[in-house]
Amino acid sequence: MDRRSFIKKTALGAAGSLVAPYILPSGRLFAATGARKANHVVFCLFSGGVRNLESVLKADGNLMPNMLSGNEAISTDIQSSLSPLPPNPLSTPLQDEATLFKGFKYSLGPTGHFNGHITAITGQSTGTDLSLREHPEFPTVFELYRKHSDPKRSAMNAWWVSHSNNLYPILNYSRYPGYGPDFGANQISPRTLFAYDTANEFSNSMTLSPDHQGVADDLRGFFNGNFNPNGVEAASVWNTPEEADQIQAFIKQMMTEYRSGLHNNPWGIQGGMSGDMRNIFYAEKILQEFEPELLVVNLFDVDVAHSNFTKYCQALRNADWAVGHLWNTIQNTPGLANDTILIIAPEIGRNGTPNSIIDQNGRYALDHTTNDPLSRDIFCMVAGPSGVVDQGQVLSQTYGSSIDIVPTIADILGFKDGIPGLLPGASLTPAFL
Amino acid sequence: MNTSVSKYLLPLLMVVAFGCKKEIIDQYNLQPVRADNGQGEKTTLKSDEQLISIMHTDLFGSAITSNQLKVLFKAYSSFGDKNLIIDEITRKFLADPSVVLPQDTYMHSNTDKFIREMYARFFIRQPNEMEVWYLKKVIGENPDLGVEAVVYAMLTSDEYKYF
Repeated sequence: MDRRSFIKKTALGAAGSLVAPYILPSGRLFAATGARKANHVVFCLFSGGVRNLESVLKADGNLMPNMLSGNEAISTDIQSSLSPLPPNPLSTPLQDEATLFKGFKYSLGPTGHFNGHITAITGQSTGTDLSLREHPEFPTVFELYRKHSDPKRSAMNAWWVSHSNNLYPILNYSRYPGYGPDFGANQISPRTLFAYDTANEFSNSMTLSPDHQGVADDLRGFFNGNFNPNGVEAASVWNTPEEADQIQAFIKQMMTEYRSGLHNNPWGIQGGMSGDMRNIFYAEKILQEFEPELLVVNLFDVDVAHSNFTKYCQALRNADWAVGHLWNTIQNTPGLANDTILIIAPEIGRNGTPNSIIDQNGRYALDHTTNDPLSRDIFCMVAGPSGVVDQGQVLSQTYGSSIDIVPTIADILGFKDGIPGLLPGASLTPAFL
Repeated sequence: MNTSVSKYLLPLLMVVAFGCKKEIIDQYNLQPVRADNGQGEKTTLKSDEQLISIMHTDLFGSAITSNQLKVLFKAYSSFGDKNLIIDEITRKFLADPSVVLPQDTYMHSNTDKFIREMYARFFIRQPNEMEVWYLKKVIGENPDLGVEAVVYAMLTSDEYKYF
């Protein structure tokens, strides 16, 4: 071997040993990013268990006039019990800008809220052995998006706006090898973070001058460099220092506004804003502030159906109004308008057979149990810009299930092809032109 | 000492010293934590509630009330970036006028002593010479630096998260 050939082969070998660990199973050096349909996705997990009879089938009239077309009169007893809402935020129903899948399914797994949430957020069905204390087994849509987008996206681009602080915060990342908190979402439970007691607790906060903040950051870096935890490492989603500063400023701003009363009832709802409305309100604030590419927000008030059917109908109306407000905000936010696809789907349905609890109108309450087929019937709406979404289309036949939502988001944001065979579902292609 | 006496005394002393070990009864099922762990031995991550309540005790010299812990833990659980929210809680504690910290003048005039006291208080160990040298250098180069900045850096460090 001559000297030139030796040097060339040595250099190639060295380069290969450096690059090889980064070659993907597909053989590509970097994850490919396909063509995007839009640059932003908001997934509204219309959760708490919504039965198709009261939503898209309108058995008691059109309880969701912001989302669904039609002027079907609401049943007299229900109508007389409903609290009035301000005029609809949308001049035309969202359905006019969407494809509506009326025969959508929650196909497999127990019809519990946590199971339904995990299926919707991971694209994987669950079993009865699901742990309520652990992060999901399979990667969440946030991790798939952050890891397989090219270039990789920071947590600032992925938000999980969780209605309650109960089980749901842990859906921001999975325990799947190679994914986890480094690719997780910025999870926030605004209803508990921006509340009377928490806002008051954080009314005073130490601030350091930029110089002294820099010194403190250097000191922390020194302490961390000297410390090697030999045990369990603290797992957490993390933001870059610059992004963390922006988020902290946002949280402070929200708390200041809360304390000053600006968040008491900004939408002017008679009787006050519902929990779902508040969650959507803060989701809008995040969208306006950070314009993330992926935001998932869940609702939950409709679960009152376990004990009161009429209040369930009111919760559906409230949530529908809030979704209308959300879409209106998106279309009035530069950077998001005409470049956002909104996906709406309940996590599970509710039973065809009611339980024995009767409300003020003599209506029976509704649970959601695995052996009741109606608890698997749900809907899905995909709304977005003309030229991208097949607007006004209604698919009444059985088509699609909740494991298809994650592939659909991956398809919209152009990272579907980079996911290495993890997802059993498929993109809801009929929704797109 | 007589050789024959020492021949039997030494093994006897060893039996007394090492042969008997007091039985530890874990009556209250408490987590055993050594008070003087060196940093290399810290392997147990504080739980979320422990982190907040220990920080309060370290700063104020008194236990956090159950109501305040509940509220702060609610905030802690409400945001996914735990470093960010711990940073907020630390800043909130340090802004409290009842926090018990040395004066800035003490830090700048007794720097060596201050460093050792802060390490003992927050890291439950003594600093090594390199750590003392580095902190003295930083404090000396920043004559208007406040105690809060140094303590803030310690409380938000990785080491503080561990026993």
